[in-house]
Amino acid sequence: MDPAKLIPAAEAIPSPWGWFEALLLITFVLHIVFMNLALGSAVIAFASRLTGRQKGLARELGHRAPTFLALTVNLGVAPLLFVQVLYGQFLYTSSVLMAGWWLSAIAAVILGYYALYVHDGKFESGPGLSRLALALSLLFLLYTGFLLANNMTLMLRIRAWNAYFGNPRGSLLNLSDPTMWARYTHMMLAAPAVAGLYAAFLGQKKRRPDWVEHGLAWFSRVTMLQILVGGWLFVCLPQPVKLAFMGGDPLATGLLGASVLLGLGALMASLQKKVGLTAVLALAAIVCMAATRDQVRLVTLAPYFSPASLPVTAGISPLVMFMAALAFGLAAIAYMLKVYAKSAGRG
Amino acid sequence: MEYPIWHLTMLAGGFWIALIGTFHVFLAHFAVGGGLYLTLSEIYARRRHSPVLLAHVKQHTRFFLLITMVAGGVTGVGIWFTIGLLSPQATSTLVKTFVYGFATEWVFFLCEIVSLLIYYYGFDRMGADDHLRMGWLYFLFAYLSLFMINGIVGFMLTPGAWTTTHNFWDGFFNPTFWPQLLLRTAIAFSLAGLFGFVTATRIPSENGGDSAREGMVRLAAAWTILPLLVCVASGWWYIHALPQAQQEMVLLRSARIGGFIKVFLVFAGAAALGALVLAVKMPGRIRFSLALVVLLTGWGLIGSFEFVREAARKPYLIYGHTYSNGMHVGTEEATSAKGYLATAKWARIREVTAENKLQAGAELYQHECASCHSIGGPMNNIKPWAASLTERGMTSLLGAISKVNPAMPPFVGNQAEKEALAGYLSEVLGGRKDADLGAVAIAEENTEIPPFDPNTAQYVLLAWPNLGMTMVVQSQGAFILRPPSLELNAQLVKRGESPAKVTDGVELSYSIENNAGAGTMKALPGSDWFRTALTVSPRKPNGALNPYPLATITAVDMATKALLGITRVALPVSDEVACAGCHGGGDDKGNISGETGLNILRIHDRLNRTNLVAQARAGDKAKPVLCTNCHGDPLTGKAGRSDLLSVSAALHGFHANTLKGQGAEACARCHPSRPDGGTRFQRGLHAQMGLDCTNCHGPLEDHAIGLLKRELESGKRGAKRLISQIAPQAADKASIPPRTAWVQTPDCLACHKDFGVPDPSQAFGHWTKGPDERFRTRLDEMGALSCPACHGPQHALYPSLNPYGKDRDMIQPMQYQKLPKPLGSDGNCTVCHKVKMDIDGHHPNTIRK
Repeated sequence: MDPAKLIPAAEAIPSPWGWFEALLLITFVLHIVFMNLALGSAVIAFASRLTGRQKGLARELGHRAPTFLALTVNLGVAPLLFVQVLYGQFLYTSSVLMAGWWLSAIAAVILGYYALYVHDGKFESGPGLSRLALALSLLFLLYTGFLLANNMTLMLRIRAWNAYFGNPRGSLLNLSDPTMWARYTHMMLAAPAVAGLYAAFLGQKKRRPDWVEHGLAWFSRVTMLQILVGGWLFVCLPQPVKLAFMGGDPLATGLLGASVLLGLGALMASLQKKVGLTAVLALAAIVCMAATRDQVRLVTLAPYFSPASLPVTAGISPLVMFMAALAFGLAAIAYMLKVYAKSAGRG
Repeated sequence: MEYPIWHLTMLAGGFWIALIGTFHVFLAHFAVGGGLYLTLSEIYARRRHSPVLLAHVKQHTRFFLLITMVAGGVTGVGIWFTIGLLSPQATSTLVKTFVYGFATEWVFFLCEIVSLLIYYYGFDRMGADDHLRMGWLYFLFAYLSLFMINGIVGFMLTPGAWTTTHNFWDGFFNPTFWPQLLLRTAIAFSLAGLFGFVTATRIPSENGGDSAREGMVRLAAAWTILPLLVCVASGWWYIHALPQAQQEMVLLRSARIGGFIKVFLVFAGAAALGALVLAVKMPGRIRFSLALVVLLTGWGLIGSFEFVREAARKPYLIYGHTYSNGMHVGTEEATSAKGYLATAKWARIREVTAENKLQAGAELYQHECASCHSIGGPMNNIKPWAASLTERGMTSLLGAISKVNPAMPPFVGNQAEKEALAGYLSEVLGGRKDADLGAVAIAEENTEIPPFDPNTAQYVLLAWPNLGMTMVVQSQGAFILRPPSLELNAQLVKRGESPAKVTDGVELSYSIENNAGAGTMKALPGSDWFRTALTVSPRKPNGALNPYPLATITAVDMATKALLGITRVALPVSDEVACAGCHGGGDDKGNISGETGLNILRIHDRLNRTNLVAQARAGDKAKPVLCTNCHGDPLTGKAGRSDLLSVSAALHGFHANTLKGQGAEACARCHPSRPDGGTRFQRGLHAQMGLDCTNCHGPLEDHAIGLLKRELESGKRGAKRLISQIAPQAADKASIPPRTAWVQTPDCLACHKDFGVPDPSQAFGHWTKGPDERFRTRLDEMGALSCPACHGPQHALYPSLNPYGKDRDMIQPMQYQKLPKPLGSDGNCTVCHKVKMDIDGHHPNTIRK
């Protein structure tokens, strides 16, 4: 069967697709940053609890990890919403193909989340339990990431959808897709790098140069590894996508180039112990990489679909409502953070 | 149509959404109400300058955060995942329609998280005013989240003007927006109280904790109970704000919703009671355990409300727009014409063949049924329903499913697909293997004709049954609709030039063959007939069908005991009612078995919120359901309930949907008229001329509309709906005149104008004006004889042909004139008059020129 015939018809969207693409990109970057902080904090804390080094840092990171995870979940909602608006017909399909696994992500996140609280709560009073909880949490979170990597690649791999005709029970995964493994590794490795950078910040703030050192070491070592993994990911991409990133599509090529350069720049900065610069460059790299990831999706789907082809329904007032709510919400958050910061050291 | 289906069996039928959904709303409503509870409790603690209370509020905040932010927040995402998996099509519509609504809600959710984290982590380090402000902000954002989701959830049930305008705001501020918001707000506050018990009951006794604990527990009780009153009131408002169709579903049609509403009220009562009990001082451990139990009533409360809401929305996910199985409203016909499997992008079988029929049925089941039904699982198990109909019955039902049960979407597909799904349901899921009704072999019975000597006989004794066929409708142990009761009429005519009817000084008695009954007959007061009511079994002692038992009638001079006349007549009675052909449970007897009866009652219970199966199976107290206690029957004079349809209107009206589009074969699905059956009651002249049931009564649909129109005049429940559902076959709906069953019948004189040559096209729709004009009661123009006395009973008009012996219905013409025609035909006036007559005394055209 021609797999293209399986793609469900898409309905009209309420604003031009660029809006949603931008919202998707912005919220995805926020989601991925907090995911890196949550998972990476857990990884670094776990490593330090295994080796017995940097216990204080492990406590600090472990204490913050549940909050990072809370924000990861929340900030994951928005890109999940916007990706459904633009690419719902692909995402719903791949989700159904791996339905059982996909649904288990909910249980995994809840368990991983509570385990992070247990780790924090029992850090001193029950170190054994605390370590075990952290290990479990890591497993659950890595499992969740694995499912996300599967779904995000399966939704693009329309040729693989035919497997449904042999197995409609929702137990498929995208294991035979090399880009899935490379992508998963790339995403997960980013976590300890970003969290290491955060540890360095924390070290600066708390005047713990050893934390700075330790955090930057995490960042630089993992980022070096990422150069290899990034290359692996690139090699795994389907030929037409690869060609698009090798000059075939100027925007795609430019974004990939910028991502690599910014990543290398961040690595250099980290080796020079410039925490602030590293952070700025790393963040810029993440933004560019997220945009690159969007390009991979657009180019992969191009033979079948372009979100630009979606009809647009009229009406702007709901968008205005959202923008007003966003402005109000961000102002409220700024106010709350200000009040919270003001109270620092009092408690 | 567009999306693949996650093939589930046990855990299909919305199990996952029910589990994750109710759990999420339970916690999410707590997240709203609990926000206010926290803030007000902190104010209370600070006003009382109580460190114990303040510590408790902090403790409760941690509990609150762990419950609402982790389990509550993530299960919220879980709902997204789940609806995307189970109903991708509707989810897509919802997302694209309300993306900015969802996005706005997300902003509030983000603010909720930030404010809650700051409220918790800043508990000890922030100033009181700042901290309280965080609490208020939290509650504000939590409430705004509820406000947003409330609009979108309400939209799915009552999209209101959106259906035509597709305007965001029309959908958002839909007809149930405000009552639902109030109801959810009340539930949220009540849940805050229930969750409050969990921590309040554990306030330790140290440092004056006892009084703090009692104070907080009592506060939690007030939080629980007071909003429950608002809950019940706003629930009433909510139901009454529903548009008519959804409201009817809640209040009248859906048996399931009635149950859910009861469960809701029971949980509300249990929560209130639990809160009162908890307010009584008792040992801490017991109280805490009890608090956890009482907390579960909150889950029941919100869960049952969500069940009511979802059930009221059936058969839609988005009311009037997307069916429960994801199909778009309005696409049914085109898809059915092309074939569902050929149209659905992800169907694994594209066409039904003889070889793949059951597999194709399974595929269709997954696409069209599995979104609401499980196979042997906890949600809406299909198996008992699949087992209650034969494949034929299931095919008929599928063709009318959305009309028969308004909670069901229509079956979409062609005839082969319908049969494949029916086969899978009935055979594979229901475990049924039914052979269709087979031909019945009939052995001729002895029909002995009594002697009559026209030269010496002084009397002619006429006898006839009240009906051409008494149809016995009852199921052993399940129900009785119409028992085997019939009437035997007789008339003694003294022969002569002016014959006289004799009632005085004579005694008429009857005896039914096989010792099935005997007795004397009474003269009807003010009339010159004899009549007796009989109970006659359509079965021989060995159980064999015996639909035409013969009665022998004798007339004796009371003074001399001399025999004046003797004749015989067949008493047509049959229990060959083929319900089992569709409803299953049939045996080789061909009547309605107990199992068949219960299958039927089960459907009645489901569709009409009755409890008939329970009544029929109530152990020692079990008694069969008497149908005519509720549904009147003009034939037997049972009045029934004044608001309910008569049995005739109800049964024909209902089955006009499932047996639509057929001719007389539809009649034979229930009535004993099957040409190869054991009764074959169409044995009169009309049948031999090639006419069938539909010539006089109309096809089932047309027939039903006539009956329903009469019921509509007295505002009987359901008449209007049924009329609107039925499309007549032959006549124009508006032109079908109302008819009261049995009181009015097709008027013979409509075709046989002035007793002349008939025009059969005139039969349907021309009803007798009243009971006296019916064939069985009408008298000739002299007022001497009734129609069946000379012409034979309805459906066995002379010359008739009885399958159990050709003359079995024609004993009197053969006895008195040795001619298989109405009495007096062909110049046989002498039968009564002894001499030839030359005037049409009885009616025009009596004497054919």
